Amino acid sequence: MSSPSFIPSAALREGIASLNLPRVAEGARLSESSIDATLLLHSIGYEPVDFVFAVAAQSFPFQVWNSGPDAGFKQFPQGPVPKATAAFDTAFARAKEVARRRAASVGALGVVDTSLLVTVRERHILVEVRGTAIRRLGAPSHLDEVKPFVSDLSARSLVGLVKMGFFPSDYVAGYGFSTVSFMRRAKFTQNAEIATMTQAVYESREAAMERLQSSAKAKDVVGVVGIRTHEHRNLNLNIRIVTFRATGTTIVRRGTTEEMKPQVILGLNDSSMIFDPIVSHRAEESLGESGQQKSGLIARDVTLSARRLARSRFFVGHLSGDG
Amino acid sequence: MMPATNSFRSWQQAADRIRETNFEVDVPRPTWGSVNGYGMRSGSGGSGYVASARAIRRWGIELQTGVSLAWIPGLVFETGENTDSFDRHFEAAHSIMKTNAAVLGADGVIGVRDSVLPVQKLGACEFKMIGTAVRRVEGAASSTQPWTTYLVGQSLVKLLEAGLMPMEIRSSYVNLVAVHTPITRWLGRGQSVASSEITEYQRFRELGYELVRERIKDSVGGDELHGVSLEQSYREAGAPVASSETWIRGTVVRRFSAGSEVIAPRLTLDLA
Repeated sequence: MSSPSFIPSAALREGIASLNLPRVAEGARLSESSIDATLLLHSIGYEPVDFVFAVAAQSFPFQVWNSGPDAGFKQFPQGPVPKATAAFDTAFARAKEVARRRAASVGALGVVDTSLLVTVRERHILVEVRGTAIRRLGAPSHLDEVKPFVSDLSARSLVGLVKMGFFPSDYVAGYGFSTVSFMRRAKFTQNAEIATMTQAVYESREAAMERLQSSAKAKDVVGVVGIRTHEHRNLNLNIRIVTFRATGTTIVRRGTTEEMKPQVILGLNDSSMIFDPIVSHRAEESLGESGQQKSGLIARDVTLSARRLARSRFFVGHLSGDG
Repeated sequence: MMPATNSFRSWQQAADRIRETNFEVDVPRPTWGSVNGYGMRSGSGGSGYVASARAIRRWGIELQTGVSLAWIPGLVFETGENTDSFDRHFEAAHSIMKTNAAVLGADGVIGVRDSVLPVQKLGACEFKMIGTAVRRVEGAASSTQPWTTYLVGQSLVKLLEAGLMPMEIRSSYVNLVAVHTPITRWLGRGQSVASSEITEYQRFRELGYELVRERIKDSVGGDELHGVSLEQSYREAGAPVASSETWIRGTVVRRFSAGSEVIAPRLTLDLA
């Protein structure tokens, strides 16, 4: 069976020959992006140049969990913990600033695909920011007076955003903490709502969303996109804490919005092909010597779409493996 | 006899796909084994506290200076034995895999997968590498040694179409141990009246990233490290000692042509 080659033979020879060329000493570029993301960025005139990271550690003040919104020490408080939220804000702002500085040092215009890792300990908080720095194709490695943006948008989302006439401006986050007082818990002999826990979730959510919205109130910002939320309950510490995190990217308008009309499209995405020797072996077994499928798989094949039917030999592996 | 491949679900499909990229799976003789590389390290053991503890005992002779002592008030040591051992054995597994591929007359090894796993009760780590050897449809191999890549299938085709040639997989690993100062421990325990920055903690975590990044940049030279995978683990080995392990790896690619023009995709709305 012969298939057309995507890569011309001459180009391939050229590629292999290039491996024998001497190594250039400097100018290495690192990219966490996939080839798809890299090509997508190229299509709008950008390229990944480096990955940047920043870690910020911030201590919580003394007795932070025992001092609720009201002044004074409480042994089993209930309510939001603004001092812990403030500690996160400080650490997050510092991490973003360091990431920006590092991106600027390699001539980047921004950082995309930023991941935020937050480790909350009982007495301190660690915030880690990591992403891919991008720059304009062929831009110099150092740019003056450029303040790179930080964003958690993927390359795909960035392309969509740019083509729609918007541009990311900042990565914003809100982190709400709330303590749960189990002194006021419900009687467990009856089925009842644990009101303190419900209240804590709402309080932490309110604090996080409020912080996120106030961070987004900057000049020219038209909205926050790609908001992700995450709620976590840490009930194993001496103090029971409910946390709520909300992150997103603020955007500004640049240019005109492209009108979008729905169109019929054919998906060309290929299924992920991960090696599974057992499935592979079964797939071969399920094919007869003439390449025909054995019985037992036919009924399920009928339900496959036209595209899948065209590739039914491949899906034999799926079916026999799943079955 | 059917050759083994680690990338596709059926041999026929694998062969077709690989031919599309102008390569073919090498089947010069009956073989069921994929191309393997295997390394084992012992002595300083696997990752984790045990390894760190051993390294601590050997600080007197294993300490590598000149990296971090200048900028962190606490002490930070790179456990040179662990770092060297890891890099050496990763490269050994990689080298064996390439040798096996070269014996088969292959041009390269695609779809490489690696694993580093501690061997229980042996105080050792197992480095394993497996990939599919391929060669050009026309003619014999023309590169001096087989190239290796984590990429396979569509990703590999796109890379070649974009004018980039995979060279080899590259890895760098750093194992650090820190002894924090009393003031840092005091801050870390939340004893300060006001919220404060804990410089030592953040610099210690960043140091691992910085070291692996700089080292792999040096080894990559003027080429590009594509599809970087970066992992860091951190553990407190009992106050005031903490250790971190950072590992970076990816495929080194070299540009050989401008590549095909990339057409910006049109926006579509998914109505499903």
